[in-house]
Amino acid sequence: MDYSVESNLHELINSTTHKWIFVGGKGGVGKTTSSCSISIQMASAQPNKQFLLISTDPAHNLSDAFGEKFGKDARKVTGMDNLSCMEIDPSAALKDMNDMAVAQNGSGGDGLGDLLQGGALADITGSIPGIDEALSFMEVMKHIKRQEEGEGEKYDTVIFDTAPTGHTLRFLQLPQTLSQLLEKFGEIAGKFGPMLNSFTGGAQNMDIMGKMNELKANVEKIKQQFTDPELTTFVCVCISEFLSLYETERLIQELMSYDMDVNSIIVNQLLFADDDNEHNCRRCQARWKMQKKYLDQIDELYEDFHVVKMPLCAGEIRGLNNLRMFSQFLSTGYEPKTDGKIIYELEEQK
Amino acid sequence: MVDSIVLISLVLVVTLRVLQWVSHYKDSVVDAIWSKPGALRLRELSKKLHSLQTQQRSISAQDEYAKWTKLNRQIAQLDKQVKAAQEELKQMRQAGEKSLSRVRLLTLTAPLLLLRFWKGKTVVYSVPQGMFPRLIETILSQGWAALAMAPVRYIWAPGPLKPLQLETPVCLGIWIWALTRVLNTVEFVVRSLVA
Repeated sequence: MDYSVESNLHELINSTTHKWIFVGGKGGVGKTTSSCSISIQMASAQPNKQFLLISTDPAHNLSDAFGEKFGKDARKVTGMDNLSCMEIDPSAALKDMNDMAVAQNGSGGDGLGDLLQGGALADITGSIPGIDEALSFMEVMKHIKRQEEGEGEKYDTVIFDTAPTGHTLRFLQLPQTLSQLLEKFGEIAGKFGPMLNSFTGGAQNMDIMGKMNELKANVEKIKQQFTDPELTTFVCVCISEFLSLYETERLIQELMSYDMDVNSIIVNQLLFADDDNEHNCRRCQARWKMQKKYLDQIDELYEDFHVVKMPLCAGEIRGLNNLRMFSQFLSTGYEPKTDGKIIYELEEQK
Repeated sequence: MVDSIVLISLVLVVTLRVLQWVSHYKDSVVDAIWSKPGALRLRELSKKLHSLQTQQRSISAQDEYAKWTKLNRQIAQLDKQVKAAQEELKQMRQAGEKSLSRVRLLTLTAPLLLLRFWKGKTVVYSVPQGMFPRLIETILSQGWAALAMAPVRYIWAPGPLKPLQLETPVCLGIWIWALTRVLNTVEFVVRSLVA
């Protein structure tokens, strides 16, 4: 019996087990549009659950995609009761940390407090490469902790609109890296714990070992969750061109080496020129020929993946209405013959 | 008896030196004895990897992307296996070299050392007396220990030395030392001329 995988994300959209969904790929292939589309479809299909869409890309686009402003605190999307969005702002998060540190150190007279005044900590650490990934990861840990403690808003599924490939891979490596670092630090702290505690000294006298163990436990929890295919999956977004496909292949291999589940690919910006009799210039035909060539290769290469083929629309896919219209094909699949008119039906956003 | 001792010493010194000169064959010897399976496996994997890489280079990535990518995956897999096999072979070789060093120590170095201590004073041949200064003649006949013991003898047994013999014997210890130095010098000259 031939087992053929559906070329849509119906199973994922209606999944009741997934807690973490990452949407990633090369720059400019439609990650934000895809992540917004997946979120909208999931929220519509499961109205009793709460969904959170987080952007971990420092160059945030969620606000532009929905046409409304989102910030570092989760806020519901206008027109949807169970979908919230958040754009992690590294500088704001660092400023919060800085303010907290200043408050803990007390005012004046203390050398460390003077150093931290005026956001010095934020300035120093804000430009460290990888800080964005680290802060996004901290946000994930905070979210898990809040869920366990029953604090704040509870979200059943978190969808990540990630940064271009390299940054995302760094983000996903963090649990492993942190775990190893904490292991080493644990060995050292075990030997020099009391001495380390005395360095922090003064009124604080932090229990370094305690905090480290807590962090280690959280990181282990995240590692477990990220490698459980029932809880976490990665949706790769690409376009039908060599560079994008090659990067997608590398991304998939890298994700597999992290034991992360990846079984869905969204191929965006397809022209389907064969089925468009009205608007079918020579350029479109040439590009479609090239895209078709790679589409056949994708089908051969990823035969056990859900490969969703999405069209290039005439207008921008911005605003909730346009995203709703566009995102339906993630669940049903796009048929150019019957669904072709959607390309010209998107409303123009002001 | 003396001839056999000298012959054995000569064989041991020369064999040790030859082994040192042909140390680049050490890997082959170690591979042949200790790590043959590992070396064969590595050779097989490297051959397979090379074949896949040749195959990949012969096709266009853009025209046959799927085939190219499948080859790429196989190459990545084989690469890992080759690295693992190299690491395994390295460890086998290290273990083999350690065993080889022990064998060399037991069969060559230790016997030579034993010979030098046990039969070090055996006379190999003699030189006419007066050919070298007295101190040198003492060293030739009694070895380097005589030099070390000279101050002690001066304190314990002062006075004129016993009359010397007509010929100065050259002991085995000094002879081995001289042979080693000659071989070192020849090696140095040859290396300087070849380099």
